[in-house]
Amino acid sequence: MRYIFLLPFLFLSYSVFVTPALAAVIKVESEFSTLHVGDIFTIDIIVDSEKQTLNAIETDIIFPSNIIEYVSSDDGDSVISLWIKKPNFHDSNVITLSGITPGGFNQKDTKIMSLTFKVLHEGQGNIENTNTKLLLHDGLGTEASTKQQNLHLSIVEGDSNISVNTVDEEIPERFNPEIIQDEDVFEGKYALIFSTKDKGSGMDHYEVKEGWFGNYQNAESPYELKHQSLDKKIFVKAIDLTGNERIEILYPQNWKPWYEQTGVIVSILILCVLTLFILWRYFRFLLIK
Amino acid sequence: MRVSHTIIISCLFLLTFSVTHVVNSQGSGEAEVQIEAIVPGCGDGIIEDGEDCDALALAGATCFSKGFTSGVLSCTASCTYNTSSCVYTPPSTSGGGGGGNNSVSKGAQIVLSGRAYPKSQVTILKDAQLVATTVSDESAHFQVLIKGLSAGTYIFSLYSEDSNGVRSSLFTFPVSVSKGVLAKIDQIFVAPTISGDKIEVKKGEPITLFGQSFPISEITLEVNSSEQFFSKTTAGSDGVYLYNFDSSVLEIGQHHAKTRSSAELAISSQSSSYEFQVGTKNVYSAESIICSKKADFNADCHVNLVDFSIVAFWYNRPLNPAFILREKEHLNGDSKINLVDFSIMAFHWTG
Repeated sequence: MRYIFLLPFLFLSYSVFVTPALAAVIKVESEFSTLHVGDIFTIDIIVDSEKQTLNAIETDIIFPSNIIEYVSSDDGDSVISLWIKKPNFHDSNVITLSGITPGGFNQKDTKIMSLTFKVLHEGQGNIENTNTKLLLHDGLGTEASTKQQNLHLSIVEGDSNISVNTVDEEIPERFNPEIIQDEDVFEGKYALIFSTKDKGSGMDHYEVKEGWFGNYQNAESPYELKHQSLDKKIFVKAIDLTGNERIEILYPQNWKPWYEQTGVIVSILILCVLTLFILWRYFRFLLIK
Repeated sequence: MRVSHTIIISCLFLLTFSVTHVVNSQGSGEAEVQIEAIVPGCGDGIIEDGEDCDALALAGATCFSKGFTSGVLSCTASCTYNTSSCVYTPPSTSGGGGGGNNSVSKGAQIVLSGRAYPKSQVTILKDAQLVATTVSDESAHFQVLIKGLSAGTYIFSLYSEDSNGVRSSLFTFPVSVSKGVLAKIDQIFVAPTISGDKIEVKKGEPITLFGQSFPISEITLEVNSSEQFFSKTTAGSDGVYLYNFDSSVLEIGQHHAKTRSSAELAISSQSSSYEFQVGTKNVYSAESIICSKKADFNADCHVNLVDFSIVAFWYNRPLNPAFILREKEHLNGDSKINLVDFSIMAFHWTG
């Protein structure tokens, strides 16, 4: 007890000489924490970089699937430029996401992603981040010290009065699909790569069609081309969460317009000869008659 | 009978057209002589003053950066861009949102302006993809207009190349734009470039650190050791700076140097770092600029979506023996592709 007078000095020494280590903070935020059954609400995944420059993130979002269900994700205003793994819903209550920002970001509160949920039942629960990795923009991929802030939800009795009404009139951004060939990707076959963003509701998915008469098929970049001869026009459709579409057309190196394709020319010639033959037979029949 | 006449005439027309085309495509039998004029200095594959491009060197330009939507950009024999194989396809719109065409015509615009190096190429990335290139004027100022943006938040990145072909570090900043509004971001100050004459310097001898920045700007050099050393010098009217740093104050081992410049009350972002060793002998740097292999999987001197896609293909998959070697050469050499590798790629990104 007689050394109690030293405590203020010890505290002062700690404050002066032991500065807290920088720790980036990943938070789950929402306008609403008290909700009713039937409400549809949005949460934001936010990162405070704490004056450090970060360039990569990976995290799992765990939600209480006994009271809410996942509806959709929106990366329209995300600081993440390229997704390694777009929000991926698995294990019934875990959403995994990972992505990078070339050049890095150093901001207080930066949006990574918005997630929309629907309330199913009354109860209590948390939306939490786990397995979070935030990497420094240092060229080495050094992991930053990280703190988590979770969101507590309270679903109480009452009428539903919260919903999300997304108005998005913007089509996805212009983009430039490319064909690549790499010995270690699809065993050296030609592959299509593409990426764009939608600033309104966020990107939903892509579809690819090879040739005018082909069918659109869901696709992820890199996409193995079915027509390795590279003579079919390629249509890449980017579709956002509200259904707005942008179609970009790629003309591969061996593509030719119809009038330069020998097969099409020969078909036209055969068709014409056949038509003339039929007409000749028809007139001959008329004359005989 | 009129229908029959129409069919016959159409068929004869198609027949004539087809036969003519086939004959044309087979060749008329006449010899064609092509004369190509080559401007002196042009055609050596190196972009020099007065050249937009040279042979396969396109200075990072693509059909897309020239305002087209797809196609292949090439270089003419007189070292100007050849956009004849570029295609512009107006965006097609449909779907639930509606009003897509309006959003394009009323798109937001942004003007980016600032300081780089005299007559240097400035490359602008939007959400990590190349969106424009421009060349700064003799006083090292640049300005570029980017049109057709949707309302929302964008991550813009920007870098420049000095007269030796050394790239600056990437300067990244977020911008929120509104529909129909012209946003202006000025006072951008591109970081200086930095190089050195040695990769290993004999302790006690000087190492020459040099690069390019804004003309007559004050350069602050920072050398990191167990303690940090700061020195100052001034860039010339061409933006070039040079400083002989005395290595006797440094311990034996690995060190790195960075620079920052200031002019007209503005401060640039920090340069990338120049790594060197203090040892027992002098090892001089290669004179020619060779592209860094880091994260550049297709060896095109750019780290962009192509490299990202190659690496993304192997994300969380066991690597084959050939790709293990490539991973070691271009990334961190841990024989797997995970978030750390993508972070390294994001650091070296050029778009």
